[in-house]
Amino acid sequence: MTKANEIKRGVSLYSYQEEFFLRKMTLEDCIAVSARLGALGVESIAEQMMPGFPNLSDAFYDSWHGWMALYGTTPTCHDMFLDTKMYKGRLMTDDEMLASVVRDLKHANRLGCTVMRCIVSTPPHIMALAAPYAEQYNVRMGIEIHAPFNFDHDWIKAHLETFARVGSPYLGIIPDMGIFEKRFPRVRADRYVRQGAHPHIVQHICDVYARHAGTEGLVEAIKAMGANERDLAMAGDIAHMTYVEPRRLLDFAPLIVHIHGKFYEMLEDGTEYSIPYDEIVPVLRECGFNGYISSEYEGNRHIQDVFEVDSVEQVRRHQAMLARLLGEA
Amino acid sequence: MGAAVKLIRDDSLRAGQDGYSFEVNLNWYRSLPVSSVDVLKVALDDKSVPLDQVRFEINGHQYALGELAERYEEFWFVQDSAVLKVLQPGEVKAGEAHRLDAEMSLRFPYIQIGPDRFLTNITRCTDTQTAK
Repeated sequence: MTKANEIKRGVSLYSYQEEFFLRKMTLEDCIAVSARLGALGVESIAEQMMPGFPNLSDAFYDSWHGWMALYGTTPTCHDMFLDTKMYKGRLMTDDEMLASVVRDLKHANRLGCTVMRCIVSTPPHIMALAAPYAEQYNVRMGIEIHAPFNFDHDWIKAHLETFARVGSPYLGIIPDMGIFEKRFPRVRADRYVRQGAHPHIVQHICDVYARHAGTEGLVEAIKAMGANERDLAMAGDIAHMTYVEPRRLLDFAPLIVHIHGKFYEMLEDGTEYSIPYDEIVPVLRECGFNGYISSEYEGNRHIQDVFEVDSVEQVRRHQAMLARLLGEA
Repeated sequence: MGAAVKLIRDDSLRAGQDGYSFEVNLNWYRSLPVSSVDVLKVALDDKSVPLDQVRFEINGHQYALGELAERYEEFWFVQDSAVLKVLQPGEVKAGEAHRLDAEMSLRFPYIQIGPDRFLTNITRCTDTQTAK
């Protein structure tokens, strides 16, 4: 049985990166506009919008909680990074990785988040070592399932095996909806054309991608069509894209701690061009998922060369679509 | 961020007593430790500047380029510009127009793409500015 409105709507402030970078919006503005759009769960990236991280002041955390109270929002997820190549000439040791993860768990806890996005490169054994700290700080850790990875990659399987072995409810997954890329995003295809790719070759690549039947022979085929360097670059992108059948989520339902509602282009009719949310959201309800779907707009980088980015309008449309698919009145 | 971020900040060329300076923007969506930053080239009017005469300034701190790799606790925040200072007194005077070239690399310390290989983006920019 599925019940309406158990899934909650939120936004990742990542969505507003363009306006934030250009100083058109402050951190508080990002929170205020999210509340206005009905995205009441706030996901944040410290390295993006919190200057001074990892050494944030008590005053910063006080401001943060003040904004949450003022705008009626709830902190949901902190997106952590693991900068394993930070030091000269060597990678982080296990102790350093664990210390970095614990540092971020403390930050998530101080923000009031109950979920932390673990970047996909976080090793499984570090997740296992961090589980007791996650429990201590009451923050569930979710490894991000993000293209080019999907459930069938050895790296993700190693995580899933580790979670099964450790058996902690504080270890889980955060599927990024970009793993359900059914069509080649139009904003990316159009950008290749602007950069000099041939429109008929771009169309051919989009057609081949949309069949999800592999790309064997694609490079040879487009070379025979007269492909240039941009055409070949676009064909190469396909290697980093995935289309997973949305019902696969059911196999991992108990592990889902949060959802990254990745999108590239919300159309005026309230659909996403390349990601089939109308198929995905019903599956998430069937999963019994009761956390947040965070709208995560990533089309900015593909249009900023010619258009003024309007992240707020894109998030507004994504939220309206989610509200419709969740059966909200 | 991406293609729309212009590396050299508009109208930032300054003439000073001990040389000249201009500002650069961070071409990425999250802050990075300065240990991930490298300055590959600076040129003035098509003449390359020896990199040992270039300093990188961020958060009020000044570093020789060779020091950057050790500065992993200093972060370059996304909204801030860094200053490239060239210790060549007299090369640029206020009111003069000069052509600037800069090339920088950012290594993303969390995006591993092979054994000990991490994704690295190189950004170049050429701009002609009048010094203040």
